[in-house]
Amino acid sequence: MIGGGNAALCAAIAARQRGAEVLLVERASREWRGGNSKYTRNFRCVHHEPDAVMPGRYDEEEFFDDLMQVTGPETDRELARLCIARSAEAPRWMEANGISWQPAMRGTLHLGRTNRFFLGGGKALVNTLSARAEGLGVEIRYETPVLDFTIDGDRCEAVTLGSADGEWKLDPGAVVLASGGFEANLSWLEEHWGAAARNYAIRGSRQNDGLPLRRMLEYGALARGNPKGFHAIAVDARGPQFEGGIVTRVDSVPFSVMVNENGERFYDEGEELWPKRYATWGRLIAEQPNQRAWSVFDRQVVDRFMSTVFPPYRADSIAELAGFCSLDPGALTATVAAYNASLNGGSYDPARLDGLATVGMVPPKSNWALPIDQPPFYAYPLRPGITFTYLGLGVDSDARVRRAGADSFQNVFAAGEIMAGNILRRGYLAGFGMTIGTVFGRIAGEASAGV
Amino acid sequence: MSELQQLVDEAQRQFTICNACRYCEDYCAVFPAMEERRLFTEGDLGYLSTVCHDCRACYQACMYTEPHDFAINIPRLMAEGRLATYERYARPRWLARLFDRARSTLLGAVLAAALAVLVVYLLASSAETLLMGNEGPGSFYTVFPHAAMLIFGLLLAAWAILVCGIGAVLFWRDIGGRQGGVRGPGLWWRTLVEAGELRWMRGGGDECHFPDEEKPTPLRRYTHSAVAGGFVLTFAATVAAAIEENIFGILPPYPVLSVPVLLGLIGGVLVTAGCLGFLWMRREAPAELTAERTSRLGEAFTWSLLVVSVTGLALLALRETNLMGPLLLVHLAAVFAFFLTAPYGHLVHALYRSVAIARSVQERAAIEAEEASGTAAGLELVMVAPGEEGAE
Repeated sequence: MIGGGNAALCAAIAARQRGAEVLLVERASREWRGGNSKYTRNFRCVHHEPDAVMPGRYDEEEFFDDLMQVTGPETDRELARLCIARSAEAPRWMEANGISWQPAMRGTLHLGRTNRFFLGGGKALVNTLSARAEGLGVEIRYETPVLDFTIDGDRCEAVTLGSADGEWKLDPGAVVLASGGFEANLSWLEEHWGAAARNYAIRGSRQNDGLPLRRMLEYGALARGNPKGFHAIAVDARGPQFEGGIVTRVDSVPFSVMVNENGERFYDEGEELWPKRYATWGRLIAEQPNQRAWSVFDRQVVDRFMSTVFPPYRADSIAELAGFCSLDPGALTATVAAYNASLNGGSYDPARLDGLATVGMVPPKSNWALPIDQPPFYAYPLRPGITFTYLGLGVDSDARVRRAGADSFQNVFAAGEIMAGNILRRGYLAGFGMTIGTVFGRIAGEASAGV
Repeated sequence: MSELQQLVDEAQRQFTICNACRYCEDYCAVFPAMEERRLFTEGDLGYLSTVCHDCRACYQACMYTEPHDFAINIPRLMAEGRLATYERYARPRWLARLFDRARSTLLGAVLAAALAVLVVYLLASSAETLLMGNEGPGSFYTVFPHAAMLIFGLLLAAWAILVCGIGAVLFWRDIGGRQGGVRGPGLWWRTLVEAGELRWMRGGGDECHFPDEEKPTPLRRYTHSAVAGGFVLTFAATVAAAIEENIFGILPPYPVLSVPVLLGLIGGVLVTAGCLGFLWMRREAPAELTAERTSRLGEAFTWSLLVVSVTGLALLALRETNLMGPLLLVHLAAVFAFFLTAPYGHLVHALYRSVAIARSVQERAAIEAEEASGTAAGLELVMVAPGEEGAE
């Protein structure tokens, strides 16, 4: 098993339960183990009746429709349906392996009907599954990167592993790749996005350089998913370049005007309810000069969104605020003044698309367009934060890695983010990454034990 | 900048990160209370750190612990916060420093108590009583006069109650308890239940990650219950003895099959076992998850209580020998030393934690009422529902 996140751990447990002798190699140290899984919080699953943590029901058709809406028709429908169908039994399997759930969420509009939340989040899940795997007799080696594979036709004959004592070769009966995407590999991102890639924050594991993915593609594995594609959101530019996780996310956009480093607006901040739009802003900011943007708002809305990890800049005038943001005071003042002068004066209602909009402004702000005129004024500096990349390895319904123009590999399997591109071509559904990891981790683990 | 201000600043830093994350909100009552605040005062730190039962579930679940640059370490921060809280509300103020010097404080108390016991013995009893053994009812008072025992006991109890009472009232006011919603017997009952069953030591159901960060067990809850339960039983034994003596006129030592002795015996065994358990667990637990001075405070308390119960059990076991006299004196000195340090030692955690739990009960009731009436931050729920913000 290559990787230390949810998919690798599920594969390891499933294979061990089928009687296989399992070695799990995680390139991160023990403290950093768990890949992007440690930053997750929940997973999406089918359920036919309410239970202790999920109200209502969520059937396969609704799940499938939700997926189609975000990812479009190019998805591998067979794998998507398999993943969705197998998600129904996943919670019981996870519970049997020690996972606990958060009780039903508070609040009115929430994901409780479609998603189960891990008690304590993804790192708690990684801790539990790692302990469970070791308890079952899985050997886990940390700081053990995969350097290469020895491929002969449709078989992997050996895996070259790194360690403190140098390289060594392992001759496994089967290999499961669950090593994630390549979003932390800046030079790979640069191949597609140029120097701009250096300005992105990588929200998850700094270990995800995608080396096993690249090697397998070189050895003839079928590529799946947009090779340039990534999922990104707006994060606080003051956050760390890697491993910022959930906390650097900023949700002020619909309450603000967004400007680039010229002090100019560039997109409709009030296009849709925020949960439907938060993931578009990563790409929008990535398209701005130096991949920077600032979310500017005033006292009226400062407490209206999730509190953030760094306080916003704060000033008594827009010009002073521009100074904190290293923006031209004249340009920012002009943008805010033009915005304030264009408002249609409708009534404000954050609970719906309220039609409180700009008139004659390009681009417009279509909803929640309150004037920005009550000091103090605030701003968050933002940059794109990449969550994951879409490029992956094509797999069949046994999670066997497919070869381009040939049969699948006999003993190479893939699970989790490294094969999510089969199902997720673009967009994202909350909690679906962990669904893919859990379902295909189990499938890959069980199938690999049968090799 | 004062040490306390530095601690409050660090709490502000860490709690702000927690509030932007919220993955831990179902582990205990600390995180939902944290979410109600954006700016944190000394009082808030006192409140949150004393509601914290140090189960460490949040630490193992946190992706921002070291080596991450955010360096989140809530268990340690809370341990420091608790000590700072005890110091802040200790009266008279100049005695607050005793918390920081737990070992010297205990040593001083032991010496003072031993000296007092010795002086009373030398003044009031004749030398030959020391090794006379058990000569029937009233033997204890031959070695150490009843009146002295009573005076010492009552003075120490009055002192502890006064100091702790002042601290509790100050703390309750500081954390907004007087303005809180729920009051009266309902509040006290819910507080008693939550404190008694150590609900917030359960880590949201997965149990406590002390001492082994990676293997949650109910061990600490059981150990704590043994110590607390045993302590209550020995207190009940004292009350029972007072009833026997003052109402029925029967003087100690009492037979083994009597209420005071049985209560004391069971209580003493529980306390001894619990204290040994805590000493072992503390040795096993990782040092970086606690503050050293808070740890020392707990350890001094455990040793002090252990000596009280072991000398008590030894007195019971050997009271028919001529060691009864010396053991009685040692036991009395241990008991006096324990109560001398009580208002300036780890025992106060029970007090502050109970006050904080009461405040937490109030606060949760208010939040529930607000949510039920639909006036909660509806905006936040709609625009960025809890869960959705973390639900990518």
